[in-house]
Amino acid sequence: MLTQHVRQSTPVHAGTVATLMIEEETTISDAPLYVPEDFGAGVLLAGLLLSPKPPKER
Amino acid sequence: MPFAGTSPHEDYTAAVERVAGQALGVLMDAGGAVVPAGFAVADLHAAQTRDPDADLPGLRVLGSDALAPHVLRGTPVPSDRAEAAARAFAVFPPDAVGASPDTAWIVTWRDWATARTLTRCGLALDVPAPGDGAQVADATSWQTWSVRMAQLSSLALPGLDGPIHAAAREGAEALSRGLVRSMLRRDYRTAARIARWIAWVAADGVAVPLDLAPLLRHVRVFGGGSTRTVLDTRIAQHVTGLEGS
Repeated sequence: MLTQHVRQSTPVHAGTVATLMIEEETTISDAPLYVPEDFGAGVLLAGLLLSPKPPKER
Repeated sequence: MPFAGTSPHEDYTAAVERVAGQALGVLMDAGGAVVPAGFAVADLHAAQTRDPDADLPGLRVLGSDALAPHVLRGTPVPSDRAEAAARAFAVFPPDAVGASPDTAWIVTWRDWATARTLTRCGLALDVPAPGDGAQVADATSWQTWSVRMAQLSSLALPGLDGPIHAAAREGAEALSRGLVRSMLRRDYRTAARIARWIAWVAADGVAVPLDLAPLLRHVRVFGGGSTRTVLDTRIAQHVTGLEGS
């Protein structure tokens, strides 16, 4: 696939090269996510499953 | 299968990340490629053995950045790597990379940096002359100017000097403002590229009003997992001699 893209270096593909070479600045991005703690969703889910059930009213 | 049913943009982006990982491996003396997040080692080897042209878009996009680790570490560029970088220019010649009239001069300067770096490896590359660099001064504000310098960050390497570098020396304060602005905007890709220039300027003996080490560390941690961004921060560290931080 990539070889096809490279060998058929059409203007569209060449434009892709220019876009990647001259990266524009980004728009305002999302909140930062600390990479080593990228497993946060799993921790939250585990905490939810392990948490005690709320007391039932009688 | 990272290349099945994907667009050229996705394939080329993967190639850029892969080549950046290989360059990072050289820079960190890791004995191989530093594999980008989400890119399995098996896929990396499979892509290389299956497709000899797989790295060409990455080499063309990264240009001198792909060879910079060898320059910084003083190790010779493997001949097959240098030849592949030259071949990438044949596949994507400078007048056909698809740059707009407004940005074509940036590509010309980046190609100049790549050609100069390849010359050190004994390979001559025929690229257009970049002119006097007057376009870089056309920016109306320090915000625009610093982003423009970020787009020229692959020139910020030891051994390269010219009118763009002279502009960087004179604009150390604007570069620092631009870096802080990018950090506040959480645009870590641009921040890493501007940091390359601040590192170069500082290594050249110009006083800069920023402590670069914690900024580079922050960009690396929060930079979103882009190997290209990590490569920029590591190159900046090497240029300033902050490798241990």
